[in-house]
Amino acid sequence: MLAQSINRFFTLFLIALLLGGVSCKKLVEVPAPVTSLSSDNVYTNDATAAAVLTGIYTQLSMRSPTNGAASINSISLAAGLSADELTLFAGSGNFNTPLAQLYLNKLTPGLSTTQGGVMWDDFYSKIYICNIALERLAASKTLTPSIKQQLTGEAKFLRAFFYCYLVNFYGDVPLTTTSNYGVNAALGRTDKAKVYQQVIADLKDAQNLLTDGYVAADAKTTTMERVRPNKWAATALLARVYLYTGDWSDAEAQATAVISNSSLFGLVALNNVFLKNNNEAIWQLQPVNTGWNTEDARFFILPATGPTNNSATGSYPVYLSSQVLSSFEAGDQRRANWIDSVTFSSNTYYYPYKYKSATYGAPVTEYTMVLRLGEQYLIRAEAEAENNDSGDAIADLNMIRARAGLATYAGGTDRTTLLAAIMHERQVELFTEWGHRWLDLKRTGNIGAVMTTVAPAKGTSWNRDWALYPLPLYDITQDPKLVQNPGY
Amino acid sequence: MIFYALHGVAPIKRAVFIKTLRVMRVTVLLIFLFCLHVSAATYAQITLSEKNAPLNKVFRDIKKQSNYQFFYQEELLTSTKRVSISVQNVSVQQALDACLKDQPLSYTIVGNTVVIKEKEMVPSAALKIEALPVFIDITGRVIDDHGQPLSSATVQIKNGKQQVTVTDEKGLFTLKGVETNAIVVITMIGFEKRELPAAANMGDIKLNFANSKLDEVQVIAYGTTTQRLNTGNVISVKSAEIERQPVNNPILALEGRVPGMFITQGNGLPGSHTSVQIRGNNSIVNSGDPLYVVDGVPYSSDENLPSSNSVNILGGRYSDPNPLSFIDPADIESIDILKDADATAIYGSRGANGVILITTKKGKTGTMRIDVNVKNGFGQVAHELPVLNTAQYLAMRHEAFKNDGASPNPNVDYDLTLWDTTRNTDWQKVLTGGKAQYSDLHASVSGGSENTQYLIGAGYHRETAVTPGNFADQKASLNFNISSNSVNKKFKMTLSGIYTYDNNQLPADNFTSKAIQLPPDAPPLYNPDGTINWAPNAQGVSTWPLALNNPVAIVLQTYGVKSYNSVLNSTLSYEILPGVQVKSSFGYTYLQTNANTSVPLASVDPSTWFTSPSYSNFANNNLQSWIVEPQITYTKNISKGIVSVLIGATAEQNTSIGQDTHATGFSSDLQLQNLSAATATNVVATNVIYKYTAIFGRLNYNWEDKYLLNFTGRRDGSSRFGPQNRFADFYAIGAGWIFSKERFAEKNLTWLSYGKLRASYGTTGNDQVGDYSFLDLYKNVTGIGVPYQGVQGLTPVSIYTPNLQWELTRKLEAGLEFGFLKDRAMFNISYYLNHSSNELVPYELPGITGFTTIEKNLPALVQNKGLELELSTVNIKTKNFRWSSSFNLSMNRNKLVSGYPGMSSYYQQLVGYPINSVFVYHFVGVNPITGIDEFASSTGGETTTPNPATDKTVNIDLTPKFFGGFQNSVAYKGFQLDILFQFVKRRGNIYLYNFIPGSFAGNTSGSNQPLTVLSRWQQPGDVTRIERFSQNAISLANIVGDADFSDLSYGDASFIRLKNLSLSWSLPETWTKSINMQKAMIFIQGQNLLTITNYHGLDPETENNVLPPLRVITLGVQVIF
Repeated sequence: MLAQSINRFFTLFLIALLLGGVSCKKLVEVPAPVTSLSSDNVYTNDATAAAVLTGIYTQLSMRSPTNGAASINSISLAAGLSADELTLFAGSGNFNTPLAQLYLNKLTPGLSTTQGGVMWDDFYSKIYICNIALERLAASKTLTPSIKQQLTGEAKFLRAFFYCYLVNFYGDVPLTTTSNYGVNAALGRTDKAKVYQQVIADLKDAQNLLTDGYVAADAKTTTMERVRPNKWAATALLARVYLYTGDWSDAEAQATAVISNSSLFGLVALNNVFLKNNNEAIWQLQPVNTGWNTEDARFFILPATGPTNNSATGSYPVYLSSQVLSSFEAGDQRRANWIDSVTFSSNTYYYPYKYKSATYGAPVTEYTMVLRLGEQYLIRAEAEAENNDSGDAIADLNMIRARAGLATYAGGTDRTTLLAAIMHERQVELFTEWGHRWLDLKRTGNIGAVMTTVAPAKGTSWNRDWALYPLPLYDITQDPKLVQNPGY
Repeated sequence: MIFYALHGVAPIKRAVFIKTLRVMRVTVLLIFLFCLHVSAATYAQITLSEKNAPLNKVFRDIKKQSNYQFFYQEELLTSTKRVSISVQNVSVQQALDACLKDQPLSYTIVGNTVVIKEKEMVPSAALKIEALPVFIDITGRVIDDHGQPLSSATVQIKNGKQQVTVTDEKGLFTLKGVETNAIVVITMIGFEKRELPAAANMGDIKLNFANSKLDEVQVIAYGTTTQRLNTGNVISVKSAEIERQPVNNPILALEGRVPGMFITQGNGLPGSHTSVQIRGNNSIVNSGDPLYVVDGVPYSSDENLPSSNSVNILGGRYSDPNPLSFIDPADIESIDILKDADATAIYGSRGANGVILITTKKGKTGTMRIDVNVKNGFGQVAHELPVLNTAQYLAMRHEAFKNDGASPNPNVDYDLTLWDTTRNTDWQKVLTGGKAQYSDLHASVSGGSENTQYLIGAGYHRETAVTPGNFADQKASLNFNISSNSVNKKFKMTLSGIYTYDNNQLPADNFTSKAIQLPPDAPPLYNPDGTINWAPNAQGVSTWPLALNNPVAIVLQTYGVKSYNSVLNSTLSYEILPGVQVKSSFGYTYLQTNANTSVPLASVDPSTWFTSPSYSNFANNNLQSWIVEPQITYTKNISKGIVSVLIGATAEQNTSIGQDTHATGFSSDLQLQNLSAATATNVVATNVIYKYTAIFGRLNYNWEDKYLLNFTGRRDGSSRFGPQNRFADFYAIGAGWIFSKERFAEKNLTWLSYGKLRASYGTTGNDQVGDYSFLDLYKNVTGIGVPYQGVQGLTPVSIYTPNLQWELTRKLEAGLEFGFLKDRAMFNISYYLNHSSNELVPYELPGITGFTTIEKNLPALVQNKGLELELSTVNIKTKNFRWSSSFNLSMNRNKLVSGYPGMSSYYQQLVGYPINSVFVYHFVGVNPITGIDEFASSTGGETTTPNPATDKTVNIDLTPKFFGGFQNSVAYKGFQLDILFQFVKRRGNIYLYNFIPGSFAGNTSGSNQPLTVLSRWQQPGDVTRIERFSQNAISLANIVGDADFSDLSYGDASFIRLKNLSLSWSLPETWTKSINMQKAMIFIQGQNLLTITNYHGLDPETENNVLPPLRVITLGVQVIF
């Protein structure tokens, strides 16, 4: 009896499994692991969809701008070195690192290790996220409409932000607006003006889609934290883009929209400008590394031993250039409050001290500033000056000068003189912030004149082709339609 | 009866026979092909090869070959005997003479007709008729050494047709109609063949366990066989060989023993990563690990163990520890290595890299046996790398400053300005010169009755480190095995299990690189008051080179892995019909590893405390898998052969869950091991499920132990691949021809006791790619501590690639096996040719797509071909003295045969070269005028700054040219001596200098140098290969160490190593009997005793900067009650 039932059991079991193995694919189907999701389910749920955008902000905030791989968040360092803001410390083998290429304006399109190349990849990998998010958000039928709208706005804002930097660093760039790698892999370079058109369109959409106030990670709840872009961030960036593209009136209008929103924004005292969630902040990034404030503070603030480059205790390979130091007018409080120094081996090294907290374990008081009101005043001043509205231009300029403890502007009111004054104000107001100096030099056409005098001090000589970074060789090899920038 | 004998088969049996023939058309065809050249004949002449054929059949054959007609009365043949005849190219007359020799017939030839008639009666002929054979039915029982019945033994009549049977579960057999004077032959896998005269009641027939290696049991996929009958290439290593070696990982016991298997120990730390490659590398980028199967349960190799940032030290070469070190070598009965398609195709998509079957020890019928084995010994680094002493070091530094026209900077060059330059420390002696204690205890109890057998074993192993500090690897293991069967032997069950607990405490950093790189005048490790000496400078900053730190600080940084490993396996089987067995095996494995690294503040330079907080990493991973494999087997005698059929299915699931926690914010160093004391944690979790299913089958046909044929096939499905390509088919065919059993060989090649020709062809796959690789996954952004806005962000990590599938390897093999002088000398030679295609490789995309690579199956082709030789001889064999030797040699040639458009330029350059080769600059020499390295430029001439994109033109092949082992065993009375030499011929990375000789390089690495730097360039006109000393990287044109990427850095890494020496003495039986012992033995064992090499560096196997395999010597005792 036992034998028979065992017999029967085995036969049935075997047949069941054999049939199962052949016909039922379920035996080898696995869902995405619980520790990750696939695009099929990420965009079906409000929280995970929002987390994708949060992921971008996290990545923008997390990496320290070290001498290794460059990324979007080392724009301040990379562009600062390329321009006349930062000096590379000559010891510790720093001149063997890719930083030297940036500093000496001698980028090589090399395989993948150059600063320029990797920054390119970082931009495009983030743009891919924006693109797939936009596609999937549009297709999603299960998301709460208001959240879908906010997230779509954020993705458009971010895409515009990335392209704005891409065209400024590289000139004409491929414009990808889909997540399809087959399509994207065969793109050539798109005319800079067309890219700007896309950027402006995205920002206008973002203005309409994004909320007025700041929202939390759920893309819904209102919060005091100014770490997700809102309508005003889109407006502020749009003002900058109009300025860069020479659309003075629109630049002025957008900047005015931000400035006149006094319930949210206002200029604050110099030492409060980089504090978290202060009134000057239009969009900030929240630090994400345990025990630390901003990565900029951690990198720029020199220890008692001065600049060095050592992987074990942290890298401090740069200090402020003499050009920045000598550009301040006497009595400029920014020189006193935003710059500090350290003396080691009888050498004094100055460093940016906008962010002040670089001690492990100190309470988090500062956030990384991306868009702030000060720039909006300067944008408006410049746009007004370009439109020959010198009175308003000087008024805006004086807002910034007054905060820095400087007397009202007393220089010439002709367009050229005024623009030069505004440009100088931008240099001392926005130094080592998101590459403003490098971008300003290029868009105003002053780069040749300035760099020709700076280059010898760096130990190099200037070539006009170096105003644009090279496209990574890797991409040029993989996509024959991509043409390298001249000079590389 | 007589009618049947004369006409071959009864009508009803004939029908069955024809049916069988149809089924086996292919089989017969193939056998026929094998036989072709044997029966090839000249047209006009007669060739006959018949065994026990009826006369009329022979006549038909002659007629066919000669066109002669036969004329005779049918009745005449009724009294004739069957004919066994073997003639070649003879005339018709000669053929007729031969086949009518002992028959009561004669013939005359008339024209074209042969007339058969009755012979004239002569007395002798009359006698012959009276002596016509008598037929009887015989019965008997087959038992083993212990008197246990043996089922499935084959019982056959020698030279008899069709008279074959197998014993039943009680060992009983019956054969009907056997000639009284026949010889009965009994064979069974694992036992010696026996031949006996037939008798009606043959009683108990005892078979002895096989002594010949040819007939030892070989474990194969889902079954067993012997080397003699195997159509595939399987190498078995038995417990006796494994036990002789003091190793902590059973795989290390195979080094030098298995042809075709190249093993590299990652480093000398216990539990370290070990790379195993069988017949070369099939895959461009994916793992070349073989599939490990322990007692039928797939066992994770390195690839599957979740990696974590804190488990990397064991790797030494940036990889994970080896889970195989969680299996106690003493628990292992045998390790079988499956190599060719015939042996591996049944493992389908996982067999491409070979399969390693580990079988644990089982209980045997008999009285209780207690086996205790204790070993104790030590391990040490076999030799120091000669490095500069202080005088030489200081001279180098001063020369460097002189060369550069510089003088030491008191803020940087501490070795000259701050440290006590009269000190001279041999750091290798201090840091890696210790003796590691080695203790091992293993005990087991086994025994059993006819129906139930058991074994319970336990082991304890402890190994300390050669470094300062209290580090040790401790392992405790338990294994058990129960097998039982019903009284009628139809139902059988087994249950076996292994449990291992391993507590591996190691230093958190590599002491070896410190030992060879620390300047010899570096400060003392401790202050006079016993505290750690940070040797601070004026600013209070430690002057120890940062990358090396004060080594005793590292001692405080603990690294520990606790592993809990269990492997459980059960099989149930039932014989539902004679010859038909239904079986299912169930397996379960669970491997839990808890790793912890701590960096207490006390181990960090106090001046950096404000930026370097103390932290701990906790990595907890567990890997669970279950497998169910129902099978049905069927064994049947068909004609003169035995057919065995296996059909089975697999369902398997692996789940791997991991949590890697980086914890900071501890209030004190004392709390570091306590996760709840951390104020901030950063967790990275992994959770991976892998499912696998298959159906598989095997058809094996063994014709008289002479012609062997084996088909295997498998249909596989794996969750690692895209929905469109989940399933795939794999198959193999293997054939063997034991030509030594052919009459021509038996007659003419008497010196040849065994000869087999075998060949196989088939396909296997490799699914060792990452889980979920086809999905576009979103993962949490890792590496952060404070979630953005309190929420873990998600980021996509891959693009959807639904077409991903396995890599495919086609394997072709041919082998010849010979046994001479009654198998006293055995020689095997195998040739193989493996082609791997459909390679899973990263396909490069421009970065503008968001990703720089995606995984794709691309038509790159990798070829491995090679030759393996094995020779084993019993040189001397007397009553008291036995000397045997064995030698094996393997040669593998690997080549990336072709690439594909879009393949990265790195691989594109490798087309035509081995995958495991590198392109480097050609080092021309040091410029005699400037003292700076020069390299060949692709544009001609020399350059000091070669271009990485164009000037890397020299290919360096790092795969071994050949390797093997040579073993000798000598036994004299109770003494036994075993010596194994391992040899490898290959190139490797050599160590001529470290970083830039002459620089202090305090921040990046140590600065001491091997003695080879003394041949540096000193003055214009010097012709040498070592650049001039420089204290500063920038001052040399060659600033990025281009020489590291040139052929200067590669050299001979061949070696001959006395891998194992074991000497044992068993007490005479008369002594042991008197104290009721079965056996008592004392032994001394040594591992890695001596290495002969020209290698520049520490060790040619592990190469640079890691702890080399230790020289281990142990003394031990084994007693058996």
